[in-house]
Amino acid sequence: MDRKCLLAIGAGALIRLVLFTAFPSLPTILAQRVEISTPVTSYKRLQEGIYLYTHGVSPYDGGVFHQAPLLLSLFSILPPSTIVTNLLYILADIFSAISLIRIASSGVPTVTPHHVSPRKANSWPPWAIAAAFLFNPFTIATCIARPTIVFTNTIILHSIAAAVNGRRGPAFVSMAMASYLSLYPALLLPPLLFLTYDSLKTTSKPSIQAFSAITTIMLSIVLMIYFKLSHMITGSWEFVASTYGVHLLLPDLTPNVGLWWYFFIEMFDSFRAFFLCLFQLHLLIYVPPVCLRLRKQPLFALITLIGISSIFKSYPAIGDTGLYLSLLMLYNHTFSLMRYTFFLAAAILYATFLGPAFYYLWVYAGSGNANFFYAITLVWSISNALIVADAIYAALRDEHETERPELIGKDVVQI
Amino acid sequence: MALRVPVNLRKNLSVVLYAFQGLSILAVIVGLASLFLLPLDEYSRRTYISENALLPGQVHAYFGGSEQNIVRAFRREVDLLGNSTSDVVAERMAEIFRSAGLKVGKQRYSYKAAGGEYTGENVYAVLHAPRGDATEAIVLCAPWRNIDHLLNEGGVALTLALSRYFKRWSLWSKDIIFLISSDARAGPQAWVDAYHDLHGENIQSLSVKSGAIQGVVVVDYPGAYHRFESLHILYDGINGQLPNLDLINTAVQISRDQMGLRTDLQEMWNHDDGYRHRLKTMLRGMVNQALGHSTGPHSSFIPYHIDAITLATHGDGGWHDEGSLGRTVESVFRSLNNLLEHFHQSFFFYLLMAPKRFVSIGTYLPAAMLLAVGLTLTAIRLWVDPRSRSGEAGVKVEEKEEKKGEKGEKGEKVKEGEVIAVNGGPKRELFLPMSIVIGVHFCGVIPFAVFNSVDYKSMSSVFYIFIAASVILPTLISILITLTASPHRLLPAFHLSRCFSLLFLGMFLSTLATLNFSLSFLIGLFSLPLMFARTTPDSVPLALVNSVLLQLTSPFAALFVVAGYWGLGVEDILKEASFGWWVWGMWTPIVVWCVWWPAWVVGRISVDSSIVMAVTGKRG
Amino acid sequence: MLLIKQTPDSPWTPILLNCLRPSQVPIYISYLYINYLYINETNKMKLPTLGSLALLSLLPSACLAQSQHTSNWAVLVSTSRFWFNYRHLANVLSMYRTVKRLGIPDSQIILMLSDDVACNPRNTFPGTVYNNADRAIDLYGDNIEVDYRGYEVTVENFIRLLTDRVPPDTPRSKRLLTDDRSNIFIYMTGHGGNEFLKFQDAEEISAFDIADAFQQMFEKKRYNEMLFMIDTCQANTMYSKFYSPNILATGSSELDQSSYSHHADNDVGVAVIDRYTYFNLEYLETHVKNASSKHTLADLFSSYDPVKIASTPGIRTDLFRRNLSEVLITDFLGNVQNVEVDGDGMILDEDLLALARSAGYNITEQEWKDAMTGGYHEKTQEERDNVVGEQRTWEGPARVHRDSESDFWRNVMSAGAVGVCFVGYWVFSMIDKV
Repeated sequence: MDRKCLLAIGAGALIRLVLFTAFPSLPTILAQRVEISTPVTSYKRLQEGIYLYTHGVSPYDGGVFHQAPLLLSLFSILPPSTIVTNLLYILADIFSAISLIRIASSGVPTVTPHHVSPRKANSWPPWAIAAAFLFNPFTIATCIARPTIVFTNTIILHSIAAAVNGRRGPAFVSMAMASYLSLYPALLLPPLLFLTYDSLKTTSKPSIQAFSAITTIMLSIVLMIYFKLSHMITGSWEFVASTYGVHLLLPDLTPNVGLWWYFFIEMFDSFRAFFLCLFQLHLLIYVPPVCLRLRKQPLFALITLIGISSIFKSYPAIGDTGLYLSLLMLYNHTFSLMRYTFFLAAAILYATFLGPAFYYLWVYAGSGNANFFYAITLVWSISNALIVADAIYAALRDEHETERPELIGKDVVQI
Repeated sequence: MALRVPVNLRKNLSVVLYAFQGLSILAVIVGLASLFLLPLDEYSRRTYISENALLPGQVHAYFGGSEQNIVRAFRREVDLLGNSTSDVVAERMAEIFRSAGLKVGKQRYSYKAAGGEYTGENVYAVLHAPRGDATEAIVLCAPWRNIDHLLNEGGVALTLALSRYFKRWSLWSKDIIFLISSDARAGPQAWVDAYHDLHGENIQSLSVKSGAIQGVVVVDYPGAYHRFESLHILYDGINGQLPNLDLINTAVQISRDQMGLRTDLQEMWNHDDGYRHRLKTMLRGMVNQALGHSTGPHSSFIPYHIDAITLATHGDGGWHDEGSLGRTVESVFRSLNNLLEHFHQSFFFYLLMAPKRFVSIGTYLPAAMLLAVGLTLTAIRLWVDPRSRSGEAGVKVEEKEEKKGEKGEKGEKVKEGEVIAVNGGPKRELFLPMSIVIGVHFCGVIPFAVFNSVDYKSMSSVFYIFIAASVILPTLISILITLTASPHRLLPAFHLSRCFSLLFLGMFLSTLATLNFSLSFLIGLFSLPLMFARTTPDSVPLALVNSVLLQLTSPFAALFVVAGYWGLGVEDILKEASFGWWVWGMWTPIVVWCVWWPAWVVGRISVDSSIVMAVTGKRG
Repeated sequence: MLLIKQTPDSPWTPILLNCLRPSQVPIYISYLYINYLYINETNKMKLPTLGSLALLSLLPSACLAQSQHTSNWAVLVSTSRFWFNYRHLANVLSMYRTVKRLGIPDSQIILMLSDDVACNPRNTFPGTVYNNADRAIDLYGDNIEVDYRGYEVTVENFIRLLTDRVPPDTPRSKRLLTDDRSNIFIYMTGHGGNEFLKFQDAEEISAFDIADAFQQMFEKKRYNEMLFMIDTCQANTMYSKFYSPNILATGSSELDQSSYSHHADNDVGVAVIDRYTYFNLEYLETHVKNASSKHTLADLFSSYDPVKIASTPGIRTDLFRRNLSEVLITDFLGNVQNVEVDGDGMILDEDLLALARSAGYNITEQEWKDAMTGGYHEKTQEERDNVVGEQRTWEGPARVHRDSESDFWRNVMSAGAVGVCFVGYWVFSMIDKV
């Protein structure tokens, strides 16, 4: 890690610290924004859970708290002071930035055993990628609002950093933790497997079958430990229904930037179960094709799945999009192949401005209605989806051009 | 198919550029034209009552006869107190309310803004609905001195008389609060803030409260003369928010159809309902909305989502008197009393062009949106334009030269630089333009902070210093950039900074259009020259013309226009803005200094840079 | 014919048995036999539903249609809420006053008032309701009995009332205890539209719902003849779906026509009565002076003037058998003198019990009696809860398992858990290196 990286991290930490201390009411305001805090990550709900837990009541009583029990342990042993909590969140972001630097310096985004990008000289240096993460307004807002998604993101990044360095243990223990915390990272396990396998540093590689078998066993042990610990902490298995059940069954229809809430408000009850299955399967269905088609660039497959789940999961927030966009910066060298960068960036910006305005019109001014906000979340989701699609196009084009250099610079026409 | 279109368009880039240019100009023209179509019968609509519960004008109003004598007695009372201090006034008013058997509260407040201090004491009384449940309330307000600082003799006397009169009815479903505010601008704000426990430290809390306020009627009836010609209905709220149209319709219908009282809007006396008068009414309404200031005591209530209007008397040659006004207020209150839930049926976004004619948001919003779209389309055109890319035809060569010029550690990448150039075409350098745009926008905080903290006395001198500074600043910045950056990057940098600035402006204006249409439209109108303020290093005269044009449509020019419109000094407008920010929480200064001014500065930078480039000979 | 909607939990629907008449016994026996076969076939998995009773309804209704009725009932419903709908309450109270004047006792009038305008704080004259600006008659005087009030007036309660599917604890005043010798007058008013009538600003009843309910009433022999009168916008659409015999229907306005109020009282501040009802009342007040009046419905209907009413009133007679000029207004709106002493049906009942037993039903004497007396016992909420309780034990709020002074232990446990995570992480990364 060179001086520029340290500078970026220092500046990123400083800006967060300044925001926390200079505007003491900002965290509370941001924590109430539906775009940032969802029912499964909200800091306010976490506080409620901790309160119940430390008073000897099941934290899941009352149906407010939907987060994993180990978070309770973590926060209940912390001294109950805002400064410590704030520092913890800043630390988490620093840790994420370090992981990003490790990923970038490993060179995996440009060079994999199956693919060497012709544009590798054009990729950003590690410090720039860390800076893009640390100064991303979405990431900053998320850090200040203190939803627990921050920890999930940190752990995912740590897992990827371990995987690109061929360290299977930390990679899978971390990804198991991320899945334990917020369920959907479980979708990332298959590409993580490929990524780790490709990056193994040992001289004699096991076969991929053996590797995945061992990894699966390891994963199950780790997850069992997590669940047993959770059971011990809360004294019942209630947490399974109250955390994963909420992710899967969507009982809380608080608006968010995602596509689910409005749909399920409008839904007739008799169709609810069917569409819940459909929506969840829809997320699952991307995993095999993305992993197979992007087999040569498993890191990109993983990032793409993060992007997809940040759009289509049940309780998305801008923190998820922030993670995806930061990771996408690792593929900065392929951006010149993307076709709609400006338009999509403009659309994202538009949605970022109009979203809160329409939410204000709906909830506070009373002069708009839910359709206003939902329309904007649609714009937001569509632009994100187009970014994912465009990025895949660029990555595939990059792959294609290594195979067929004579086609460089030629137009692609879909027939 | 999806891929084919952009690919083909890319081949014929000039067609795209022309198309975008044409489209953006078209959008602006259509946007402007559509505004002038609105007053026509085909585009505007007659007002109608949406809320079934209101039943306006369906009751006999009995206020009159002996009540009128009571009003006159109170008039005398008010007249005697005319020049007393606010605490003497408050005490006397409280006495009168108490003698009518009402619960009374008093509230002192003090605001500081633009070096001045605004203090006073509000007094109010609560009439509990005899058979209601005290969860809702309606407010009858009369400022002691109205917005023109005239003693509101009739209004206060009428409020006092109505408090006794309403007390005798047993048909109220909501509590009625009678508020006599010390003035028309700060007093109501202090009171409504305190009512919702959101007041500052120099404002007293309220000792007596009632339920959620459903509606407010302010009576403004100044002067010693009893008779008046017509009723002027004021409805603009802070930050351009408006009360529900049903409330205005109710007041208009009751006063016109039931009481035979003429109603006027936006100081348009003798409205003939023709095109010109409609347009004028609408434009006046838009100016008030755009400024976002308070036009009467009712304005302070509207941000709390409380629908409020002021009924002001106009003229003194008519045959209406306290009785008509009292009956109108009584009838409006009977209608408000009928409400079952908050006003919500009718429109919150509308432009009124005659007392009984309006356009709703769906019809007028496209005008402002099209201006914003015009700006955005221009931004897109600038992005697509090959001039946004550093270097043009001879990319490879230049890339090499540049790389050679840099330090040796990058030397080995030169080869790959070639490949990149071939693959993606020349790259856009984003760092410099981004930093120009972001830096200038951050600078916008400076005028905002300065004008909100400066004394009234030094306001005008600070303002002229600031004008001088902002005339010079863009030139300085463009000189600085021209001298430091490498020549072939200059043009694209100015090009792209304009692109980003216009993109941001377009985006902000379209967001603003949903909140305050008029402000968005007027800023969009003044920003139109920014669409054409190109960097033209080859034509200095054109650049000079552009520069002058920009100067004429700058935020200060607009300020002078506004000042001229009301016949005030600029320092008065700035004082009003500062007062608005500190007392009402008015957002207009932020929009002007942090959005419009930076966009203007960036426009000036790109225009001035052409002159600087021509002079220094650095033409890219 | 499968229009009877009945939950399939009991074939012993008492209504069925209540309505049995001697002439139907053979058919009933065959029904039981069919059921017997059916039960054997399906291994008693599924109990027969009333739907299979379709056979019964095939019974020639003509033989049951009695020209003589022995009782008169009135169901008067106002469905709209809120102060500004004062006139709907006034409409219904005016009708109430009229039917009472013509002799229908309160015990046979079901009055459904959806809101209490008399005691609304906005009422200038508290505790009164007037239907005219002259305020001559206080409709809400001392002597009115409201059976369903406020939020009790719902679509569900209305249909339950008509079909008599009411909870066991329903008082007699809230039940329509009619039989096949009863004439029923149903008057409804409120806000409606094409084939629906709004209830309480929250739900609506459709023309199909009412038609089906009437059919069920017919099958259950709950009326002899019925007069349905409705005053609402597009009112005539509401009776367009009726298909049960002996119903005469009239409404205030055609499809796409509004019904209008007659006049407003400027002190009360609202409209006080609707036009259609106003002119109906005017006729009834001026012509039908008492219960012995010989004015017929044909006279009443011919008094309707679309110009005055400002909408086109409709009359539907195709389901009705008698000639309107022979039907006295008091056949519906007045009381009746004809009385018939009920025969003793218990002998038949015992026969039926024996039959039922032979058909394989295991029922006790008491159940049978309950069924026969109409006291069929639906499960109460408590009983349902008990059933639920058998399947699912109530665990109470989840308790955290911990020692009594466990703040310390909880922290230790938390720290331990977090520690285990970190140790686990370390262990796995060590394994990896090995």
